[in-house]
Amino acid sequence: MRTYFLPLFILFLFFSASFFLTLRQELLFAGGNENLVSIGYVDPKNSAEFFISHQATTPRAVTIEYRTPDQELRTETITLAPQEKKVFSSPAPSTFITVRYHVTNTEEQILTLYKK
Amino acid sequence: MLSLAVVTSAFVFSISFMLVLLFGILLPGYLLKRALVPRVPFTSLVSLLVSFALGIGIINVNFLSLGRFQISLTALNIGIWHLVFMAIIFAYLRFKKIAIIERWEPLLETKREITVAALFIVFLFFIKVFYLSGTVLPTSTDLGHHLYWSKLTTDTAALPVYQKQEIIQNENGAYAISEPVPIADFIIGEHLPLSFIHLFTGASYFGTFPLLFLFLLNIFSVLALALLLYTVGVSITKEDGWKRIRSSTFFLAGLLLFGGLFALASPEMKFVSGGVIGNLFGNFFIPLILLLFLRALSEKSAPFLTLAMLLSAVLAYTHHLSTFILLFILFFSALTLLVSWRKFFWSQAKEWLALLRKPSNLATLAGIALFAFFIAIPTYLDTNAIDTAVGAPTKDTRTGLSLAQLTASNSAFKLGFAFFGLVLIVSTRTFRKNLASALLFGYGAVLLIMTLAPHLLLVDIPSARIAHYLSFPLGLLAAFSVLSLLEKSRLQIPDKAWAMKSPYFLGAATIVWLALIAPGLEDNGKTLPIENQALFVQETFEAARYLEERVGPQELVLKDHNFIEASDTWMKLFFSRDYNYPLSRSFFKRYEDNPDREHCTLAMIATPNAPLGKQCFQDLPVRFLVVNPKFDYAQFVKSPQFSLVYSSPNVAIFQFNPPTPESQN
Repeated sequence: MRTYFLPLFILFLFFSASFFLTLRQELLFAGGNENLVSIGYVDPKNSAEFFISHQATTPRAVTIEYRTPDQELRTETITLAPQEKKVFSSPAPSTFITVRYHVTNTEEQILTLYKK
Repeated sequence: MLSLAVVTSAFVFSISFMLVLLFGILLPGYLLKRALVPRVPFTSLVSLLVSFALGIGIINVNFLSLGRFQISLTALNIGIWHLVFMAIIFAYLRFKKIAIIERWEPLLETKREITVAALFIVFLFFIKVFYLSGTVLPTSTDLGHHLYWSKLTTDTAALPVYQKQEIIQNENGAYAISEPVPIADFIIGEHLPLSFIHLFTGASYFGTFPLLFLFLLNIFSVLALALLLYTVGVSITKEDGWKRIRSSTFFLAGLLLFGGLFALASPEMKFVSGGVIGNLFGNFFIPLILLLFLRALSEKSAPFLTLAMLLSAVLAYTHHLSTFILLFILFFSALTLLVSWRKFFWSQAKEWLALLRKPSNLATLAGIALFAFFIAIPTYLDTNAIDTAVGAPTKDTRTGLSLAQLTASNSAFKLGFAFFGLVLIVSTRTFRKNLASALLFGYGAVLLIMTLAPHLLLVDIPSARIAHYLSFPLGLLAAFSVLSLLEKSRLQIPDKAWAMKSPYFLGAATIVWLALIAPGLEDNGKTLPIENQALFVQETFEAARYLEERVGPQELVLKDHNFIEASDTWMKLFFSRDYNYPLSRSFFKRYEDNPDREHCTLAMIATPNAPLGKQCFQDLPVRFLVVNPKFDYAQFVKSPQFSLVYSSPNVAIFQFNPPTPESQN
């Protein structure tokens, strides 16, 4: 038994380390996902629609702002379901679209899109 | 959140990884070892390491052989080939009536020694896992580069061709993308084991298995070094008549010194988290091969010589620099022996040559040569690659490190004790006439010269890279000199229980050991990570996924390497189009240091509206730019040629709209 012990012990420790590190990575990714948000044109070549996507496991509010060709400011606030990707129709071309993603009541991420 | 699904997934992966390790790597290697060297007595740990090394070799041979005959490198074909191989070996063992289970020699003599070894190993794992737990995300640039080739192998089910496309400028001054040009810096043995693990576990390349494999290599390197020290100890304690310190103490000293403390501190763990695959293979193979050569020559054992030659061949297919270093070590060790013990050298030379002429070794050499000529030759074995490594240093980063720089990367105590070890070998008659000490001296001396004065050996390789290899022999020499001092001082005191009765000696010994290990703890402290980069990694991967579905077949993508927070190099695994896809704006210093380097990748992001930027956009079909909007934003917004088509907090994608004739009018 004495001669077998060290290799078996080392392989067992390695198995434990594998399990721990893999679990650690999965938890880190899950944690990172909570604040993962992105916006983009569904088809960047025609910009007819854009999406807002997030991976948070709780609903989050987003506010979409853009100016019409008459320079009127349009604002729309909606709530995204957990881990939802929602598609919207784009306003007129050459419009800056600003999306405010409300992480909490006091914290937000501001993202923009535009097509020239 | 810690859910049952996450725990189960991690557990299932760990089990599958261990099964592949046991049955895909260790078992074939073990069976081959039994067939090649059935009557050689191994300790259990040497058996483990040699089986692993041979298992890696078998994977490389199988992939290369199947690839040579244009057979698809699928899990089924590789699996069948592996099973056939094992069946042949198994049948051979039964035919020759060789027992499958080998009997192992004891390594440690007492229960207390085994307990101490186990504690040192637990400490080794603890400190390394603690470090890796903060670097477990797929962020390392080098690892991203390497995994591109492993993934290409499994995606295409064919051996990778190491080539890349580059931006070139033709005679008219126009920029274009070149035809693929060869890359000498990647060696296939670095990538095939990872492809093998992916095929049989199904695990993602973005998961933990690459890091775990490199971690295993690192653990085995520590064991190989401790076992090499043990083998040196066996020889020295016997020939120098040591009474108190046993060879097992050498093993324990090696475990403590190399395991998680200074000798394998910051550079090695950075290699694991940084994905420096070739160096890690070298760090494992070099001490193991030296151990086998030492045993072959000191015991005049043909089987050990067979193993040493085979593993040297495996290393040659895995990492060119390590192979180069190994050859230098062997040559210098032989030279040391020749100078210090000429009579012995020439008296043994005939017997050593006779070992080489044994049928098993001739067959091994013939087999290696046939494999190289008819199946696959290491790609770096062309004149250009050799020319670039041999010769007078051509850059100031290759002219050697100063002693101060050496002390910064290796603690002063370790360096001091290592130098003392060299002096001890030279000045002690028994050590001068000992094969193991000659190896230790040759190993340390040649790497010191290569690090401090490479021009003396016509070595033209970055000195910082050579210095990484120096850490091992310095540790070996330091351990050797400390143990020698302990043994010699103990001889002055007749009482066996002297240590317990001499608080002064105990106190001094404690201070010395603390001084040796303290810098290593500091080293580990410096390399312990602090940031959680999971969000940055996910943002980069989401951007890559967005583009992967939308970029046209002829369109190029350019990304920034300076300011994207994490994992930009890994984007190439999403596209799998070319090693250089997406194109990359490299570190700014590289453009400053090399004016002849193309500057399109710099200009297209930094100054897209300047003449060079405009010309590059005109000549090259770059359609999308991936940047960090916190650093690169204004230059695109004010241009009518760029649209912002994708946005996340730290990664944005701009689309270049080629100017139309109307817009130019």
